[in-house]
Amino acid sequence: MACAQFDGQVVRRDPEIRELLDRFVGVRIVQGNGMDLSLFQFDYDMSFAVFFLNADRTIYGRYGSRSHLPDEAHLDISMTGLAEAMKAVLALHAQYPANRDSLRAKTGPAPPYPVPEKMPGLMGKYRSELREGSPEAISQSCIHCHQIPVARMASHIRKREPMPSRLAFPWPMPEVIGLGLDRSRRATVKRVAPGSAAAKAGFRQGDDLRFLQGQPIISIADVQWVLHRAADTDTVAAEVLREGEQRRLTLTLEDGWRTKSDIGWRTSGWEYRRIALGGLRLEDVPEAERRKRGIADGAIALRVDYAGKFGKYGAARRAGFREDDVLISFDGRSRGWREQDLFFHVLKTKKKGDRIPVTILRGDREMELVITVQD
Amino acid sequence: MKRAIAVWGLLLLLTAAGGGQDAVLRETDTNFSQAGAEDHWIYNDLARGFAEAKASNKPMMIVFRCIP
Repeated sequence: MACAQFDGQVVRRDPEIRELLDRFVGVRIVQGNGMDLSLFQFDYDMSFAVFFLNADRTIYGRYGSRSHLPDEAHLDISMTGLAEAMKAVLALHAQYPANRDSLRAKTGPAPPYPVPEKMPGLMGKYRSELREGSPEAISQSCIHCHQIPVARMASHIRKREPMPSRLAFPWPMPEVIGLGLDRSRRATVKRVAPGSAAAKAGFRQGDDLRFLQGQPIISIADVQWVLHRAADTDTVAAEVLREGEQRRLTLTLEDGWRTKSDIGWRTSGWEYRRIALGGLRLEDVPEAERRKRGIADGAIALRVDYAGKFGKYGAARRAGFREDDVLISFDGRSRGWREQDLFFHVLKTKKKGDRIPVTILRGDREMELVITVQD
Repeated sequence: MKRAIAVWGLLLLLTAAGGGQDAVLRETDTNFSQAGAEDHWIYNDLARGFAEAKASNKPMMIVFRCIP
């Protein structure tokens, strides 16, 4: 079940949420144009997301998470999980405004641009309203949510500013800190990865995560929000319910924690590929093939799965790269990088026009090629 | 009198044009158009959602959905 099917179930008022929905004012928004970016901060790479608000604009919580490609996008959401989140929102609404202070940090800081159509790259191309006329006219005039982070990234590249890691690795899933949460609950711990930040903090399977940094948690998306706002090194206060008892835990986020996020599924990932890799899509060479080709453990081995053909997406192809080439060195480094590490390295340390030396294997032959950073 | 009629006529035309656009938009949003859910969702009108939430003292559930 992809996001589209899930959305269909929601809009048709699935029996699991029907009675709950009657206790909400349901609003469906299908355009990014005019979106108040100071209020509606969510993972813009998703094509389906839910916001729960009070009429005074206080945010009760968010719902909708994603960490996979479209055909597996359902793995992070469930109708039962949405129903649980809605029940939690109703409880928060019943306590409001006594709990207002605990909800304040669910609203983010004001972004540099108030609405998408004022952002560089979108300004002048889009208006605050959709164009009238045919479905094509409407579609072409619609700002799609994923264009928002892309515009921000492009703005950094154009200004030759290093990319903040929060922008490059947005909305970390709890798995990044070793916390596997049950998608059919609000935020119940299903598994804890040994040795992870979550394990070191003392999380256990079955813990109900009730508060993070003092904010009531209604969903996995709420956990992502707190992680998204956390600094590159930080501590996060957690409160869990364990066997009926409240316990306080402290998560320690160490330098580089955010970069463990898998960003390969993101629509904006193609923008990274254009900027940093001239339009190459790379995949890890499987272990068996690494051994067969004599590639050492830990060495970079990234196969060109696809090389773009047109415009800026075809830059690497025009520079000589082909499908099935295997990158074994990138900018002088030959160990320990995945595709997204290359993105981050380029976005953090390079500027438009910089030339990056790349060593590839084509068959058994080693070749030197160059990728030029684009905007 | 003629002026008042002209203003009313213009308003009617604008309303009809707006309704037409809205109808095309809803048709493009196939999940919505196939669901027959008009009575249960406020469609692409956040201001109306806020007003209704204030009047009814209900929380809002806002679904953001990108259409093709």
